[in-house]
Amino acid sequence: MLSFALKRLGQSLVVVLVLSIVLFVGVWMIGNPVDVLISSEASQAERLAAIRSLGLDKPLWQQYLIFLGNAVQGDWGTSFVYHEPVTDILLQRLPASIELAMVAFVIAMAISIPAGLYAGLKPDSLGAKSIMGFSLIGVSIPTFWQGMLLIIVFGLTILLLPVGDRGDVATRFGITSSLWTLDGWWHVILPAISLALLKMSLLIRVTRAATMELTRVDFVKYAYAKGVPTRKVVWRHIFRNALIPLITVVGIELGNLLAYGVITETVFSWPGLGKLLINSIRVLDRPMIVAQLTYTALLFIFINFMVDILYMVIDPRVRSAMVRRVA
Amino acid sequence: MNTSFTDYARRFAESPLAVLSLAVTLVCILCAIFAPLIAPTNPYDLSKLQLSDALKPSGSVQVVPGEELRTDIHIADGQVASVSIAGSAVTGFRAATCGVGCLDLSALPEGAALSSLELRDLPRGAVVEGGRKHPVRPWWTVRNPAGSTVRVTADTAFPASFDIMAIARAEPQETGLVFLLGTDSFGRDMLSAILYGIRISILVGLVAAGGAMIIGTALGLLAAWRGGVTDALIMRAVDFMLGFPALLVGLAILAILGSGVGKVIVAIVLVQWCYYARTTRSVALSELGKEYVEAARCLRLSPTRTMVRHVLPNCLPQVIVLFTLNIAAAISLESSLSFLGIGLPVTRPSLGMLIANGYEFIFSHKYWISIYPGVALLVMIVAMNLLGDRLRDLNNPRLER
Amino acid sequence: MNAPMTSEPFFAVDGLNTWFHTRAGVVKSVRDVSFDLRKGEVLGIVGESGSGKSVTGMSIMGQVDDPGRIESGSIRLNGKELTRLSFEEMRHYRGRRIAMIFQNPLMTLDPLLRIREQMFEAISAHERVPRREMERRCVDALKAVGIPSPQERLDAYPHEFSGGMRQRIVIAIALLMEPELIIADEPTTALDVTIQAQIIHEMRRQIDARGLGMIWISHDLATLSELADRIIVMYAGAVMEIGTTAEIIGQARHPYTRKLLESVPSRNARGTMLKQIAGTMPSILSLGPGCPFAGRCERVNDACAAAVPVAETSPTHRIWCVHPHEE
Repeated sequence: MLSFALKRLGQSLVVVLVLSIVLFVGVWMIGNPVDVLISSEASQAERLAAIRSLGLDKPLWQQYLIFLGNAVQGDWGTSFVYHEPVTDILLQRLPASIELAMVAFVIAMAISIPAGLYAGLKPDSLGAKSIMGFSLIGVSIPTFWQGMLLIIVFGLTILLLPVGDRGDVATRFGITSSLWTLDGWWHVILPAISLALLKMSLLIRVTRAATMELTRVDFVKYAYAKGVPTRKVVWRHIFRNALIPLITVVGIELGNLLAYGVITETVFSWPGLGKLLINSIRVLDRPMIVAQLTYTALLFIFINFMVDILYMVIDPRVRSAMVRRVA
Repeated sequence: MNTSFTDYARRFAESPLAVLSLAVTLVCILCAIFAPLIAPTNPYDLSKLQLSDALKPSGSVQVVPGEELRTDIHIADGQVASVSIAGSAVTGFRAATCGVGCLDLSALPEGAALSSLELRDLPRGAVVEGGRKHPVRPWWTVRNPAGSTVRVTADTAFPASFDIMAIARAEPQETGLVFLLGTDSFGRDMLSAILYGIRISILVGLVAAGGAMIIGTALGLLAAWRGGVTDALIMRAVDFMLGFPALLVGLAILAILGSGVGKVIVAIVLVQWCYYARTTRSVALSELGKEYVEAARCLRLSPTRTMVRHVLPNCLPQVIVLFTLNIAAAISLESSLSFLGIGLPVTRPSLGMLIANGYEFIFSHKYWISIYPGVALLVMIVAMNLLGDRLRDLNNPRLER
Repeated sequence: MNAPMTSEPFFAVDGLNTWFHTRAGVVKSVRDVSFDLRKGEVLGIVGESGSGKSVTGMSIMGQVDDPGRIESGSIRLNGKELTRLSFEEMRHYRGRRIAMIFQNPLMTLDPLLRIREQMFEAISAHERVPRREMERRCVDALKAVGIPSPQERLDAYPHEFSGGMRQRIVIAIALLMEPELIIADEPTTALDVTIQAQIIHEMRRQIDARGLGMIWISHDLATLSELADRIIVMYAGAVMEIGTTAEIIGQARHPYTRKLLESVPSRNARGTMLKQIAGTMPSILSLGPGCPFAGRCERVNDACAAAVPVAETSPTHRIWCVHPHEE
């Protein structure tokens, strides 16, 4: 099992490398960032000096190697805009994004799985039909618009939750986060719900489909035939087996969470990495763009990897197959 | 699979919801095609836009500000040197003395409805009754002067002759155009903007999804036919693309290529081709195992012909389902990218851009600018998703009870 | 094969009707089926696919899938009427008083749980027994059906066993709670012939040893001829003929039964064409009041379109036919 894991890890690293090259070259092609950062009235000498200071005078492959060398050591260059090391800026904004993603994830799972199970077990009930209707709207509604609706309804009209920005932070167990404060929760709840809405829809549908298939499956009928009470059948047999397709979807959805976090952060002015990315693209802050996209790609590959590992943990058949294949 | 088209249509029609979504989709497409004919105004015609119309809520009326007439008036001995202006709401001015240091100035014709009358460069010490003075300059404005007359008074007598400038503004006229859905910050009629926006969204969606369909299907068929290295390469690429969420790939591509219609379409095609490739490859593989393909090979029929005439029709039902669902996804993706400001250019706003424009105004409670385009977008996407779902259910025999 | 017991029947099905209310119409899968069972007796139900034999089995267990339900009729175990019971009351019978063995052993056991858990759950659904005691019982049960090294096998997963072994495990589970009645729905159809013989032998041993009643559902008359004491022949949801095995195999009167017997390949008829029954089973939606076999019967005439009379040639042998064969 270990050798299988290592093999997958190796494959992932290769993918990351290829990706970083593609990104680097691509971003380099956008255009000369010097033109963005220096007014066109600057003298030739000033331009040259700027080019040299930003390292843009060296040939492309050299720039990439320098970048790679630095990157491995954790130095992703200095932002053209903020004039601070990229890594520092990323790390600064990282906790905000993680908080948002985590809360959204928990909300989504906590609601979708029971809802999907219910809709699958009683597909003709009114509850199931409304759940499916809700999920259809959730899948279709553009994230940003739904975010705005939430702001209008809960921020401006009814509940007057605060909109925009993160709440107060506090430090516990050495971790500084806004989730330790009540004000922090007040601020995070609306964007988290907005982010969770999209995921919820897909999760509900997948859970429902899996549940519906599983209720017809022999071993579920057999469990009932043994006299096992319904609740146990649902959680022990149906839910567990439904996890298999669910994990794939959750893995992909986790990725989507990070991606659509970009939109949610923009709508709710949440100071995370997503907003940073958009701003960087607008002003062509190259090191920032490359670093962020590479980091995101890294995250994806990591998630895919974890999903594979999770499969092995949950499904004993996969375990045997993997062992046989590697041996 | 020899189900006739009428049979298919009949089964489709069993679900009233599906028929409804088909109808809605068709309506949207019609709106897109006939937008220039249906829309009350052309929202891109910059010459017709008036900032005074901006940010009006739904149901308000378009108002053309009244004509403004500026003229210098020379007053000598309490009389206005004749000034006549042809062809305007205000034809002239008349002065009448009402005592020492008092002058009645009227705009002609008598009783013309004025929204305001402004007098500038009055002699020192002069005051206009019922008027408001400019904080610094000697300018006086009277709103809605009764009988189009204002009275100028002073403590001392007026000089024998002096010049003042009069600016008369007629009441604003209603043009009879009602902004059914309000206007945005540029003064554009929202209804027209939405209709044109639907046009752009559908156009981009269709072209992008269509492009992805053609490229993806071709690559899938190629992978199935060639097998071996070609197949492995294409499939690796598919797996790779599928691992990343659409928005992120779109962002990355637009970051590299810059914004613009063509580039957005390229980004969407790049995101969506893999779905078609994967599906057509599996269908093609199963078809290629059948004997008639062997026979065709023996007869030395060209591979393109075999693929197109025999394999392709078998892939079509699934491809069509994917296409329908992908148009909705393409529209959604494009609107997200436009909202973030890195998608389509500002001059021809799609629905996403309209919503983005309205974003800053929701905090001042001007909801309509974002809400209406959003509703249009939502309805379109829901209808297409329902349609695609229904088509997919029809294709799946296991779901027939 | 034992001679049928002459004691009173402990289980009786009387006029059972199980209908499915689908969008296309009412599918009357089981129509007016009646039979009874004595202790130590094996009753075989034989019929083609779609004859309603499996639905009969599921009706007894009270596990008829939506949109079906028991329209009318009675099912009595030791005098207790089972059709009136609620789901929870019926649950106490399932697995404990009535056990079921499904057709496909590869799908009957949950692939994600160890054998131990699946066996324990059959016990814990009905009794509170300490784990050590449960373990002992399970090991004994596995030993009794001939599974080698049962102690270790308890920790294994279903996919580690062959089809035949899995079916034995299922039989072991069926016997765990010492039921009075076992319903076996085509338990050997998915297994190869040699294993089939072993399983049949094993079953017979258990039945004789414990004095159980068994209903064996199959499409294969050959198997039933070896194992069953009495046989019911079903077609399109209705009973065609019922009698002792000797009567059915040797003195079948119903045209359908004769055809079934003829179609069994026999070593004695080498070199001859396999006999088939012409035509296919009619759609159950379009059945009228007459004999369902009329469309394929050689002896059909107009009288067959009216309600079918029942003829009795002996206390145990009954035929539902307008023109039964004479000898």
